[in-house]
Amino acid sequence: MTQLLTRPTSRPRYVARGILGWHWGMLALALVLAVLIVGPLGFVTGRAVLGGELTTKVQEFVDFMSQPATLRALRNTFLIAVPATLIACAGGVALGWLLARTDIPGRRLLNSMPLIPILIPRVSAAIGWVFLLSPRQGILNVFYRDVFGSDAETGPFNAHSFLVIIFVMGINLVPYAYALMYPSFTQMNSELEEAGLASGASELRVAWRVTLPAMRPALLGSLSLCFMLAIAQFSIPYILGSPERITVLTTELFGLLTTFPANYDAVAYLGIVLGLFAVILLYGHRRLTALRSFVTVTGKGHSDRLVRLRRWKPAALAFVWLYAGLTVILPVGALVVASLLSFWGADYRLDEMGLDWYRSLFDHAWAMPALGNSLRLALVGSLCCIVLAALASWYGVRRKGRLNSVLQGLAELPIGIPSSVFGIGFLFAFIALWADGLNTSFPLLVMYSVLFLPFAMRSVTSALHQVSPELEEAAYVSGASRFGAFRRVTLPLLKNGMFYGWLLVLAILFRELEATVFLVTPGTPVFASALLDMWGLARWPQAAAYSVLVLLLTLVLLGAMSGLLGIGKRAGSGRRRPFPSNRPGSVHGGV
Amino acid sequence: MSASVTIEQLVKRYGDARDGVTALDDVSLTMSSGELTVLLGPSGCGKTTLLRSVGGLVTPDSGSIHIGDQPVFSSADRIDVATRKRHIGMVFQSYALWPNLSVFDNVAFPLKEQRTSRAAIRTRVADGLELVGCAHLSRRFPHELSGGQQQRVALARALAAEPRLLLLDEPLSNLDAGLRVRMRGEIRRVQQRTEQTMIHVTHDQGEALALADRLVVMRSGQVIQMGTPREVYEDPRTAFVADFLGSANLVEVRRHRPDGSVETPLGPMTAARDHHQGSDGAAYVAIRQEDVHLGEGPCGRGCANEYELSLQAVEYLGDHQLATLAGGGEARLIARCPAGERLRPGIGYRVCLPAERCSVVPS
Ligand SMILES: Nc1ncnc2c1ncn2[C@@H]1O[C@H](COP(=O)(O)OP(=O)(O)O)[C@@H](O)[C@H]1O
Ligand SMILES: [Mg+2]
Repeated sequence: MTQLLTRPTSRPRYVARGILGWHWGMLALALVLAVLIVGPLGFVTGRAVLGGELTTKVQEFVDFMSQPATLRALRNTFLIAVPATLIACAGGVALGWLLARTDIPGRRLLNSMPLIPILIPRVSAAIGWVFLLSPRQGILNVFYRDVFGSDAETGPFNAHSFLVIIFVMGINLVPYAYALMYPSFTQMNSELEEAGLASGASELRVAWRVTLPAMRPALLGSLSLCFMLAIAQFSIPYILGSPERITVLTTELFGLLTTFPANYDAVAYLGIVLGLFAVILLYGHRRLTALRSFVTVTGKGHSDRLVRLRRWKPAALAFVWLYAGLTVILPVGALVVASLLSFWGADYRLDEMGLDWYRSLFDHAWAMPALGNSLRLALVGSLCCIVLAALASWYGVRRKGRLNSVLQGLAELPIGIPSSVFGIGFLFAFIALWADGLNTSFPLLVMYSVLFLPFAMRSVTSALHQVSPELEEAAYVSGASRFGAFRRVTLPLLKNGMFYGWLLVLAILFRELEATVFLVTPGTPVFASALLDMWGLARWPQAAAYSVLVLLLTLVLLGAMSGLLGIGKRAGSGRRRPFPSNRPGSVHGGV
Repeated sequence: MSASVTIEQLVKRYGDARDGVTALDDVSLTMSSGELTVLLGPSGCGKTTLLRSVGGLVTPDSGSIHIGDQPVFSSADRIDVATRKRHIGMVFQSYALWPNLSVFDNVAFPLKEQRTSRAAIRTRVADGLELVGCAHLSRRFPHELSGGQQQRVALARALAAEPRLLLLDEPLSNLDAGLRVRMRGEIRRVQQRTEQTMIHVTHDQGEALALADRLVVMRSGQVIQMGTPREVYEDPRTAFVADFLGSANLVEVRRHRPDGSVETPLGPMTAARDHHQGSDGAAYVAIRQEDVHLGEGPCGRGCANEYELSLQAVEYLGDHQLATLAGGGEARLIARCPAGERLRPGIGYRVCLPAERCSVVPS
C-alpha cells in the first residue's frame, strides 16, 4: 500500500487532460472545420463584395440580377423546386408511415428500398428519363402510340418539359425525406396513438391528428432539406431542360463558367443568391422548430403497435412498388434497353441489339480512367470524412459547452448550404491561394472530406448513442488514457456505424456532380462529368452503356462489402449482437 | 493495498446559479482502510456524484479528496489527478462490460494498462475469476452471460489490478430480488477476503444494513448521519433517518413538559433520548414498528407509555402483519406483529411503547 501511495503522481493537471482532453482537441477540430467549411463560403462572399467600390459593386449586382436570363433562371428555380419539394416530402411521409407504422407485408425487407435511388447517379437517372419520355423516340411514348394506335409522330409525353423535370426531381429526392421521416415514425411513442384510438378516433383520424403533428420537426426538416437539394440540383434540369432552354440557377452558373471568358463576378453573385436562400431557409427552419419545440417525440425507441391496413394492403403495396418502378426499374430498364441499341432512333428490335457500345467503352479515351479517378477520390475523400465525423460526433455526444455547440454547428453547416455554393467556394479559394492546384484532383479531395460530413455524422452519432459513457469510464478507471479508451473501447464499438457511414458517403461522393462540376479538371474527369461529356457529344447509347456499367459496378461493390460484413458477423458467432444495429433507415437518420 | 479516503468540504453544483442543483453541499467524510462504507440515501441525493468525484469522473467545484495520504483532488492546490492515475476500481450500475471483449479480455484490460507480463496476466485473471466463481466463463462474451454473471465479472475486473479503493454504484439494482440477496453476500465475502476498501452506493436500506461496516446516510447533497448500521438504525438522529431506514412511526410532539417527557396527540410520552434539545422547529417521537406492542389487557411491564387505541386495519404480509392503530385525532401508529396473532379490526387494544426505544428527533 505504501508503495502505491508514495508513487508520485505525474504532473496533476486541472480540468483538461490527455490528447482528447476536450479543450484542445475540440478547438483544433473546430479550426479545421472552420477553414474547410466557412473558408470557401468566405471566398464567394469576398469575390462578390470586394475588388471594387461598394457602390459600383452593388450596381453591378443589381444590373446582373435584373438581366432577363438571370430572372428567368431564378423564376424557373422556384417553379421547379417548390413542387418537387412537395412531391418529395409527400412521398417520404407516405413511405415512412407505411413502412414504419403499418403491417404492410414484407416491411423488414422493404424498409431500405426507398433509399436505393440514392445509389443511382442522378445524371444516369435523368438520361434514363430522356430515353423513356423523349417526344419522338421515348420508349413510353412509342409504347403509348402503339397501344392506342395514335398516328402522331411525337408525344404524348415530353421529357423536356417543366412537368417532367419537377416530377423526376421530386421522386429522386424522396429518399432524403424518407431517411428523415422513417426513424421519426419508428421512434414515436405508440401509446400516444393508442390514447387517440381509445378516445374513439379512427385509425386514419389518429394518423392525421396525432401521428402527423408529432412528426412536425422531422417534416419541417425534410421540407427544408429537400428544398435545399432541389435548388442545388444540377444534372436533372441540365439534361432534361437544356433542349428546351429551361434554365435554373445552377445550369446558369455552369453556363457562366464554361463560356469563354468565364465571368467570375457573375458566378459569385449567383453563388451569393443561392447562399442567401439557404440562410433564409435555415433561419425560417429554426424559427418554426423553436415555436414547435413542445412537440416531443418521446418513447421507448420502438413502436410495437402497427396500424392494420386490412383491405388497403394491396393498394399500399402497389404504392411502394410504383415508387420503386418510377425511381429504379423504369429508368434503369430504359438505360439497359438504350445501351443495346446500335444508335438512338433505331427500332426496338431484339435482333438488332448488341453489346457494341459496352465494348467501345474499354477503348474510350477517358471513360475508364474517369471511373478509376472517381473511385480513388471517393474512397480517400470518404475516409477523411468519416474520421472527421467520428471525432466531431464523439465530442457532440460526450461533451457540452459553447465550444462544442460551435463545433456541431460547423459540422452541420454543409447540409444547409447548396453544394454548388461549396463548389464555387473551393474554386475561388484555390484561384486565390493556389491556382496551379486546380490542375490536380486535390481541390476535389479537400471538398469531398467535408461536403457530406453531416451525413457521415448521423450514422456515427446514432451508433455512438448506443455506446454508454460508462463503457469509456470503466476504461479510465482501469487505467486507460482518454485516447486509449477511445481507441480500445469506443472505436471498436463504433466500427459498424462508421462502416455504414463511410459506405454511404462513398456512394454519394462517387457520383457527386453538383459541386464537382465546378472543380473538375478537363484532363482528369470523374465519372459523372465524363458521363455528362458523353451526353454532350450525343453518344447517347454509349452514355447509357456507361451508366449501366457503373450501376453494375456499384451493385458488385456493395454486395461484396455487405458480404464481408455479413461474413464478419457470422464468424463472430453472434458476438456482434450487442453492437449498434444499423438499419439503413437509421443510418442516415437525420440526413 | 487498501487505502483510506478523506473527503473535506466537497461542493458540486450542476447548472448555473439560478436554476442549478447543489448535488454535493459541503460533504466531509473519512473512510478507514479495509472498511466497506455504504452511502445510503433517496434517489437524487448526490450519492453517485460523491462516488464519481472520488473516482475522478466528476470534477467537484471545491473541497478536497485524499486517497491514503495522496491528494487526488484539491481545489485550493489546483490538483485533479486523472482517473487512471488514482488506482481505483469501479463497478457500474450497468456493469459496463465491454461488449467487444471476452470475459478474459475484460478482466485483463486493467492489467494490460499496468504493463503486467502476459504470464502474470493469465494467472491473475484466472485468480480473479476464481474469486467470483466465474473461472469457467473466461472465453464467453458479455452478452452470453446472465445478469448475475455479468455482475461477478464486473467485480473481478474492478479488483483485477488490486486497486487501493473499490467504488460500487448501485451494482445490485439491475438484479432480481433473490439474486440481489445472494450477490450482496458475495460482495461482502470478497470484501472480507481481500480486505479491500470499498464505497458502495445504494438506495436500498436492507442492502445497506447488510453490507456496511459504516453507514453514511445522505439527503439533498448533505451527510446527515453516519455510524455502524446498528447505531444508525437504533438511534436515528433525525425524523428523516428514522423514516428512511426502516420506516419508523413518527408521533408529532406538541410541547416539551418540565419533567422531561413530551406531550403528543396520543398523550404524554417519555423518551429515553432527546436529539431535539437545543434546536427549534417541529419534533417527533420516533419508534420502530417492531417496538410497538399490542395487548388486550394492561401489559403489566410497568410501561411509561401506555395508550388505549383502536385497531383500524390489518395488512397481512406472510411472515408478519402490520396493524394500523388510531388514537384520538390524527395520530396513527403502525405496529409490526407476528403473523400468527389474531387481530380484529374495530376493537380497542392496549398499546405499549417502551421508553428506551423512543427518541425525540427533529424533523
Ligand atoms: N450531469 C448532470 N447534470 C445536471 N445535473 C445533474 C447531473 N448529474 C446529476 N445531477 C443532479 O444532481 C443531483 C444528484 O444526482 P446523483 O448524484 O446522480 O444522485 P443519486 O445517485 O443519489 O441518485 C440530482 O438532482 C441530479 O438531478
Ligand atoms: Mg445514482
